[in-house]
Amino acid sequence: MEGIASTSALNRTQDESLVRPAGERELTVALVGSPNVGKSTIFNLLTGLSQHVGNWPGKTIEQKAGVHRSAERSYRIVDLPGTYSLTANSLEEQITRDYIASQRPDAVVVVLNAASLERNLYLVAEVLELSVPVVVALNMVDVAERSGLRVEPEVLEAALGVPVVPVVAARNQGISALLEAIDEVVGVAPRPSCGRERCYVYRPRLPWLGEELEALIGQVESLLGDEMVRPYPRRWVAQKLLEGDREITVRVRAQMEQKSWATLESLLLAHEDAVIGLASARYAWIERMVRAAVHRPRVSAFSATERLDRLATHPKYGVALLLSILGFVFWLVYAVASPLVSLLNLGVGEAASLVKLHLVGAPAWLSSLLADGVLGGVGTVLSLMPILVVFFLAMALLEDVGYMARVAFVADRFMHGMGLHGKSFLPLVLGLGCNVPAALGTRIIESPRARLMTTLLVPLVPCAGRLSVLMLVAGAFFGPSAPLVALGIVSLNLTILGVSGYAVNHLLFQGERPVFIMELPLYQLPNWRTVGTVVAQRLREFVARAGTVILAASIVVWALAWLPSGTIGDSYLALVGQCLSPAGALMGLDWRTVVALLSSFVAKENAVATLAVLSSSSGDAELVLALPRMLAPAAAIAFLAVQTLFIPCVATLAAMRQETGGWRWVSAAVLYLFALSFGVGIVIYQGASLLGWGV
Amino acid sequence: MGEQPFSHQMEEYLEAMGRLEERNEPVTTSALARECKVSAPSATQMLQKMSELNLVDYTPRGRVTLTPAGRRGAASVMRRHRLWERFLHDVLGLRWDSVHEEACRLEHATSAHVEQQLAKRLAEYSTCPHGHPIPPAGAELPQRESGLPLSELPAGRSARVVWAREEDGALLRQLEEMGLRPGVTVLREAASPETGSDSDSAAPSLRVRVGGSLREVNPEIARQVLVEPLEPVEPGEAQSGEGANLANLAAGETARVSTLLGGRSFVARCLALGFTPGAEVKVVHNCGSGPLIVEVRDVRVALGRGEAQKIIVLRKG
Repeated sequence: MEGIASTSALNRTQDESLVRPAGERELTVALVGSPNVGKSTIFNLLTGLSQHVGNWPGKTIEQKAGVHRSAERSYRIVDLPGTYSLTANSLEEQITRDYIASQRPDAVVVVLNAASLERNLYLVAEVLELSVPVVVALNMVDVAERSGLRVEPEVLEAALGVPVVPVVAARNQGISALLEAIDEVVGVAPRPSCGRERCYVYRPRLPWLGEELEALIGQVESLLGDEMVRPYPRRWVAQKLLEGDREITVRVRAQMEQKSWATLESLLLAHEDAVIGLASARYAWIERMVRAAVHRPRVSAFSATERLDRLATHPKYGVALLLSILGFVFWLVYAVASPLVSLLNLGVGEAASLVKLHLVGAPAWLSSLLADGVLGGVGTVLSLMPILVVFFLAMALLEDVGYMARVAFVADRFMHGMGLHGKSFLPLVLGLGCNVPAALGTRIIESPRARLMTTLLVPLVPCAGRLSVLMLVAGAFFGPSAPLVALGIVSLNLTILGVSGYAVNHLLFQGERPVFIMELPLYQLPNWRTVGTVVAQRLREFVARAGTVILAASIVVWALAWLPSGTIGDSYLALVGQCLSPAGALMGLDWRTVVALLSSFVAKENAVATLAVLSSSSGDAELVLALPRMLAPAAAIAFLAVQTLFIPCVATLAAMRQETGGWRWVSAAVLYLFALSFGVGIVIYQGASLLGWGV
Repeated sequence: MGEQPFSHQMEEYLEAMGRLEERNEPVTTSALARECKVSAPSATQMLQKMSELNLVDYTPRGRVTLTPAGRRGAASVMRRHRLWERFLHDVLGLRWDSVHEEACRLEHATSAHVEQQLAKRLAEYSTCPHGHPIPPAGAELPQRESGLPLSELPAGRSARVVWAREEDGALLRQLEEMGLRPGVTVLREAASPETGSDSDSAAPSLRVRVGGSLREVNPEIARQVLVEPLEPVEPGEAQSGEGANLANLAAGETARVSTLLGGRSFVARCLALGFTPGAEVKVVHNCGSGPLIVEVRDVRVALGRGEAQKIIVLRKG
C-alpha cells in the first residue's frame, strides 16, 4: 500500500518535461478565466491596439489574439473565452479546453478574482489537469482587501506549485511580474536572475481528490488506451468520463472495442454520481488551500455591492432604475448622436453634389452610381456610427461596472415566458432606437440558443426609422387621432414580437427555457481603457463586416432603381413592385406603395422619399397632401402595419448575419417577416372591407 | 485460531446467526429456521448440538446468543463468504446478484491458506459487493449495521446507499436495475399527491432519485436497502420532515446544499459555480416570485426560481 501511494503521488505532479525549451521564438500564452475577473483588462494591457478579433473556426464566439513585445522577445497572447469550468456545457468551455489541449500554448495564465477565490480556484484545479505550464494571475487584490479579504500569494504558490502573481490590472500593477513568471515557467528566464525572492523549480501539484475517487480514476485510466485520449492527459479524460462529459464519452466510445467499452460503461454506470463527488472533492481541496491562504478580518464581503443591490434588484425600484438608465441612453442618442447624424448626412449630401458637379461630362449612370449608390451606402454606414458609439459605450460601461447582470436579473421576469434570458431584454429595448446595435448587442447573451433567438426577434422591434415613417404617414391620414393609430400599430408590433418569441421557442427549441443561473459580480468603477477598447473594436468590426455588405446592397438596390432608363418609375424595382401588386391589391396598396416598401430595404426612412418621388410631390408637406389621394384609410393602416413588420433594413440584416455567423438564419427571418407582414396587411384590409370601413 | 473445523451445516447456522445479529434482528429458533430454510425442529436439534460444543447459549423457546467462540466462528464464515463474493464479482466478473449462492458453496471448502491468499488479493476492499463489511481475520463479529432503511429516509433528504440487507438474487437484480448499489447517492422525493390517494390499499411506492433519474421504489424493497443520510436525521423527522429547496428559503436564511436535481449539464453548471453538497448558501433576495439572489462561496449568484427549486438544501438552525 505504501508503495502504491508514493508512486501515485509521483505521478500526480506534472513532469517537468512538459515545459518546452524556448529559444528566441515567439511564445504563445493563453489567458483563461471566469467572467468578471478582469481577464480582458489584462489582455488589453498586454496587447494594446495590436489585437486581432475574429471568430473561432465555425463558431460564433469571438477569438481575440494580440502580440506583446518586451525587450527580449514577443508573446502571442490568446484570450480564451470566459468560462467557469472545463466541462463541455457551453461552446466557451469546449473552445477553451480544446485550445489548451491541442494547441499546447507555451503557458496558460489563469486569471483569478481574489475577492471570490474559492470559485475561481475551481478553474485552476481543472486547468492544472491539462498538463500545461500554468501561471496564476491573482487579480483584484485591492478589491478583495477592501471587502475584508487578505490573500497570501506565497501560500497559494506553495500549495499549487505554480507561480501566483498578485495583479491589479485596473491600475496596471503587476503586469511585468506576470511576464517574468511566464518566462520562468516556460524556462526562458535564467532562474537566478529572476529578481524575485522565490525562484523554484516548476512542479505543479494536481488536486488530490481523496482515496476513493483517486482509486476510481485510476481504475478508469487503466481501461483507456493512449490513442483514445489524445490530445488530452489520460487522468483528465478519466475524470471527464466519470463526470459524464458527453463529448469525451462519445469520443472514447468511438475508439474503443465493444467489449472493453462495456466494461468501462458498467464501471461508469456504477458511479453515476461521481460528477458530484469530483466537484465536491475539488472544492474540498480548494477549501483547505483557501483556509491557509486567506485571512478574513471581517465577515461580509459585499458591503457596497449589497447596498447598491438593494435598489438595483428590487422588484419595483430596480425596474424604475433600469427604465431611467434606458431613458438616459435614448436621450443621449437624440441629444448627441442625432445632430451628428444630420451633420454627417449633410456632409455626404455635399459630397454627392460635388461628385455630380465634377462628373458633368461623364455618363449619367456613372455619376448617379457614385453619388447615389456608393455614397448612399457609405452615408448609411457613417450615419449609423454615432448611434452605434452611444449604444456600444452604454453597453460596455454597464457591463464593466457590473450592472448588466442586474439588468438580466430584473428583466428575467418579463423575458422567460418567451423562452428568453433576462439578458435578451437590453438588446431588444435598444432596438427601439435602431435595430443594428440591437442585433450586435445580442453578443452579451452567453447561451447560444437564447442569443440566436434574440437576434431573430430584433427586426420585430420598431426602430426609430420605422417610427418616423409611421408618425408621418399616420399624421397625413388621421390628423389628431394619429398618435392613437401609431400606438395601436406599435402595440400590434410588440404583441407579434411576444407571440413570435413564444412560437420560435416552441417550434425550434421544444419550449426549452434557457437556464438562468449567473454570477452577480461586485460593482466596480469603470475602467475606461477596457470600455474604450471594446467600443473601438466593435466599431471596427462593424465597418469591416457589416459595412461592406451594406455598401454592396446599396449599390445593388441603386442599380435596380436606376436601370434600365434612369428613373425609378419604370425601373426594375418598379417592375418588381408591379409583379407584387396583386398581393398589394389584397391590402389595398397600389404598386407605388409596394415599391416604397421595397426601397425601405436600404434604410427605413427611404419609404417616405420614394413615396414622394412616385407621387411627384416635392418635400414632406406636399406628400402629406398627396397621400390620402393614393390610399384609402383602411389601406393606410394596412400599409403602416406592413411597413413596421416588413423586412428590416440591409444594415440590420448585415448585423444579424454578423452575429448568427451566416445567411441561413437571416434568410429564414426574411422569409418569415415577408410572409408575416403581408399576411397581417391582408388581414387588416380585408377585415376592414368586410366591415365596410374605410375602403 | 486453533478452532476445530465445523461441519458445513453448523457453519451455515453460525453465519445465519451472525447475519441476524448484524441486522439487529432477534436470534430465535424460528428466525434461524427461516434463514437456513429448514424446519423448526431440525433447527432446535442443531442448536442443542451447538450448545454442547459451547458455541451458543440456548434455552428452548427463548433467545439464542452466540458464545465468544461462536462469534469468532460466525465471523470467520462471514469473512470467507464475503471474500469469495468479492473475488467472484471483481476478479471473475460474475454478476452482482449471482455471487451470493456461489459463495455459499465455496465458503465451506476454503482452507486457511486460500483465505489468506484471497484476503491478500482483495486487500483494497473492505466490504462485499453488496456493501457488507468483511470481518477482519480473527475478529469476533462485524459491527452491527448502522444506517437507516431507505423507507425511513424523510422526503427531501439525500443519503448514500450503504448495503442491501438481503442477498437474495431477485432482490439484488431489482436493485441493480434501479441503480441502487452501495456508494450511490439517492434523494427521497415527496410522494406525489395522485399516487398517494388512488392506491391507498397497498402502501404507495417511494419516489427516489438515483443519479439523474427518478425511480418508483416498492416499500418492501426500500426496507431492504440501508442508507446513511448525508445530514443526520432527527428522531421523528421521518414523518414530518420536509426537505427545503433553495426557493423555499426566505431572504436572510442560511442553509447547506444537500443535493442537486436536474439534468447533467445543469448539475455540472451548479457544481462549477460552487453549489456542492455541504456548501453553505445564504439567500439574499427572494420575493416569492421571479429569480433569487444567493451567496455561495463569496459570490453572489442570481438564479431563476425553477433553477432554485432543483437545489435541495437543509436549513441551518
